[in-house]
Amino acid sequence: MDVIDFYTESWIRDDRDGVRQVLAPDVDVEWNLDAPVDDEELVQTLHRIAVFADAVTVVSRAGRTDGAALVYDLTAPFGTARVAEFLTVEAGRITQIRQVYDVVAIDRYFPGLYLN
Amino acid sequence: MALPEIHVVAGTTDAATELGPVAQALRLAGLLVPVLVAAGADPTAVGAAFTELNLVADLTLPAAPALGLIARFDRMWANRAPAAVLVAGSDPAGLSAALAAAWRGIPVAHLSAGMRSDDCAPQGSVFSAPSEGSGAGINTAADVESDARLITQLARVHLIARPIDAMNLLDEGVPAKDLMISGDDTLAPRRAAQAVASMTGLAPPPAPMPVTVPTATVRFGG
Repeated sequence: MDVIDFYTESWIRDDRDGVRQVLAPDVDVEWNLDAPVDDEELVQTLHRIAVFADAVTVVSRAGRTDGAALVYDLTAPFGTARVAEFLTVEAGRITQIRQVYDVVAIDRYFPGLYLN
Repeated sequence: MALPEIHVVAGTTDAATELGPVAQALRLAGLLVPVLVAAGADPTAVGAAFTELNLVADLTLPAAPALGLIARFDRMWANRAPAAVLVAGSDPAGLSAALAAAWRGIPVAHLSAGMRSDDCAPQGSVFSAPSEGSGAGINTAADVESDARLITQLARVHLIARPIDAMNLLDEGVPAKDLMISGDDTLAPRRAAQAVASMTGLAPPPAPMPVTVPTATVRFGG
């Protein structure tokens, strides 16, 4: 299993230690949510999604030698929100994470997901 | 020196019809070279839609479900990176192109942005896992809207036909400076082309389009 599959399966299973294990110490995290983010805030947000969502489905995965682009559907009790994620890998660790959320659906179906 | 390219990606005939006039305006402006890309589930039909506008698709991608297009665009742009990518509406191939472009840091312009029906929940989007050998999943109105909203989050410039579409984007938190009401009249393609060229630093921003508030005749009394 490569590092991206390990990361993805870890956060979907709500394994926060697994996620931390593959993040580089200086991982660069960006997202389009209206809140600041660092690696620990990312881990906590993924934890909240994993706990709240009825299902998290990887619906697209495009890979390169140094990373991947993923699209997830996050199914909540009242609807589904989509997120795209761009990952960069160096020396077996994830060094960059960029998440692009459908913020309208996130605010509607995952209220309180992030603090703003 | 060769002019930079802008890849104009259409995955449906509707998208080709919307994008074609802007591509023509871009060509006339002479600042960017528009490269027409026919993609989606039926790229032949998309190419035919370009032909109806007296245009020719420069690149035709093999028919593919949306799931396969991100990697395909990424490979294409590894060798031939454009200065910008232009997509339209809620075109699934446009979403794939926008995702691949964002992954490579290529700026995206979104034509016909901001059209919303407030139908939020995707039930089986173009990105829903298709059955083997099939194209995209069932594409409901909610999916279309969901895909359009994700393109919005990826785009740097939003080209808008109607003021109400601008209001939708402002409600979604899109900065006003990124919106361009290009209108839906005969000059709209020129305004859109200038906004796209401005995004790449090749032209000044277009002048704001005057907005006319519709008025109604009210008759009082009998």
